[in-house]
Amino acid sequence: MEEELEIFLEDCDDQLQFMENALVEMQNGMIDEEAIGAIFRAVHTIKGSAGMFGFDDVVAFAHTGENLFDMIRQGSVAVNKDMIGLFLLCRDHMEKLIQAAVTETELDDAQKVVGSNLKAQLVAYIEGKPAPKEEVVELSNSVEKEESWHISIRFKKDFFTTGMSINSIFNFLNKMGKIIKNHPITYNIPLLEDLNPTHPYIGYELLFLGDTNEEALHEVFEFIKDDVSLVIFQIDTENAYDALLEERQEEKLKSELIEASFVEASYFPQEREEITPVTVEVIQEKEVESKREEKPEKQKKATTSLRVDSNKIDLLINYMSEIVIANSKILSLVDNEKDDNNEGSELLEAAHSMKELLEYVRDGIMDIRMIQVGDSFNKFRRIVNDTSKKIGKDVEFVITGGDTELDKTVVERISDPLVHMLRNSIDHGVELPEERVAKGKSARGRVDLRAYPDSGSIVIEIEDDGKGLDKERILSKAIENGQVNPSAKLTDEEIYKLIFEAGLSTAEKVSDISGRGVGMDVVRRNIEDLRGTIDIASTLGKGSKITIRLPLTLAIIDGFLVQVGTTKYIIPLENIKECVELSEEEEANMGSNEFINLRGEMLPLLNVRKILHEEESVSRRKNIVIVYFGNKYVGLLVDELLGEYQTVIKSLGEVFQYLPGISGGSILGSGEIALIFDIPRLIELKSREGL
Amino acid sequence: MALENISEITIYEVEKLKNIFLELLKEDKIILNMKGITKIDIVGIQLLISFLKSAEALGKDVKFENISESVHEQIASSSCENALGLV
Repeated sequence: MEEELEIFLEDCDDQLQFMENALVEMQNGMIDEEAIGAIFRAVHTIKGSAGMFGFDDVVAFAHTGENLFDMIRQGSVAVNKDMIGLFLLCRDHMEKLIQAAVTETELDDAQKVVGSNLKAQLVAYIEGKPAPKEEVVELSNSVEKEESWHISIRFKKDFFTTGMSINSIFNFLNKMGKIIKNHPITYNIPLLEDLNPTHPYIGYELLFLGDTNEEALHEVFEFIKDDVSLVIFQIDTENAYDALLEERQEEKLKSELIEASFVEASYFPQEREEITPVTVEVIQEKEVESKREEKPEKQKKATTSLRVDSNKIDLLINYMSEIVIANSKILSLVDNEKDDNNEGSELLEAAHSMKELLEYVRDGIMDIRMIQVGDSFNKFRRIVNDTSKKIGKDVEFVITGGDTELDKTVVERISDPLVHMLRNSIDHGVELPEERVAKGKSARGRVDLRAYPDSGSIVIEIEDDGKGLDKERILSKAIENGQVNPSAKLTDEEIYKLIFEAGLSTAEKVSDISGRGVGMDVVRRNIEDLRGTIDIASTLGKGSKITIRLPLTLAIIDGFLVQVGTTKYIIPLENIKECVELSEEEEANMGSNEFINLRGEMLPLLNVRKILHEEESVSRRKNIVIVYFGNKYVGLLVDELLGEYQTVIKSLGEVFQYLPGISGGSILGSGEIALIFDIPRLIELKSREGL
Repeated sequence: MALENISEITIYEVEKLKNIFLELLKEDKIILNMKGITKIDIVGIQLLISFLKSAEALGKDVKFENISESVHEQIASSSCENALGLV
């Protein structure tokens, strides 16, 4: 796709999102000027940019919507709930039209029918039910809307040679409205001997009547804007003519304006005539100053954001990853050098400051990818609204922590699972209003969507105050499906987690929203793909809470390098609580138990050598790295601790990608391969399968 | 005097016309015969205004003769009839 089209599409997406947000707010009863203005601007912007590409269908449709919203904005049409619903549908149709236009495809017949239907409804509102009487009122209003403008024109030196005719500007203005008074300013025209006949000396003062705005008037002069000096103002603006005199600095202008009856002589009080040159200077200086102040402000605005193709950033991250690996190699070489003779210390220093700088650059690049989850969360408002409306439930949807930042890819990939879970919460969780009242709850249910950072990861919670999960039903269904052995003893949490298994739906009737038992397993898989975990807590009759933990970023981690047998492993630093040495005495105490007594508390151990079938240790010492995720702790039994290591996660390829407990691999500076532990998964495996 | 070989008072002719007008200012009674002039633009109008001003400064009157309808219209659409004393 052409770059311009891509930008157009992105722009439209933004505008459609603004529109949707505003409409959903209106649906929730927040009908205010701001929301209406936002929708109007969104439609207007889409129309404008679609027009530039010649997407006539989009323009025509947007135009109708824009007209209606303009009327709403001006108060001649009142908004009602049906109308908001209609606008939401129009928004969707507009999205389809834009897609069709960009991809150069045609809408199918059904969509066309929908489109013309929507348009007809819009037109019906525009033409409206207003009684003839009201029409008269409206008409007189529209006359009142015409405003009087003063347009002062002076020509710059080269204007005549541009070949532009001032008469065509006058003609155009007379089409837009009416020039009531057109007064040529001739006092600047010199005597013949001093006249350069091709230089402009003449000027114009116009009184113009029209339903327009300053911007539109300036646009009339767009083509000659560099060759004219304009002052445009509404004539009832306070001190407007004073400002004009100041701007023009023409001695005779005041009397000319009075003579030509633009203003009454009394407009300019006597004392103002006695402005001393000093004050004029001061005013001018002030003007200059204020102009100076304005400029950087504008520049600042222009540089606050920059739209960058996310592929460019991904590429940068890839390079960065390679640099990190290369730098690790340099560091290890320098370290070896130092061991041999002590002269390498300067090199070592340089290499370490390089490492530090690279960390800054890495963090900077990663930071570019971080986006606030709020924008993505806001999209869910409509889904919650539509879903609850469809099934007759009344749900208050509360978003908190919208400013929490998360990697763009993670945000994008978490979106669908969240939608699914939200739908489930509304469909299965929150009860119908009458049911809620009968249970002594408020008729309106509540669904919370929260995001917050917690110990190196981001937590997203979905909580509802609905009926909660029915343990017995889930368990019996799972046994019936053969997913659980009838004799197995499961904890509450394990039972709840069964809802993430394929084919398990306890919904009594299948609706088109949820209940087919397809989806929750996909949700779990999506989250696991992101190296995240999902937990669920529930109280029967009171509601459920789903907690998702996600890593901050996907590509680079700060790790801790350890050795087991002959293989090196990397443990993400964010999951490490502490390291302790396992003394021979303790080892003897342990016997065959897989836990130790750590300062009076039992710490389950995971023998890495055993589960990954490593060879016997080459070193005599044994260490325990205590890792945690959420509120669970496990000690990893390893041989050597090799220290902190910044690393890049590389996929192990299709064959090994589902290796339990391993999230990927990394190439060390020495060229060796290290495997990266997936701590959340390891902890889960440990507690579930008793490794 | 009549403006010979000139059919328009526009940007293309103003340099030449300025000199003609400077000569004209030397006459006691200034009459400008506009017969044959079919076109005028804002540059020409500005030149005429300057010419009138100069004559006025010398205490002389200028009389325009035989202004064609189209020229009159063009002056009117620039709102300069007053400035040229044509009303």
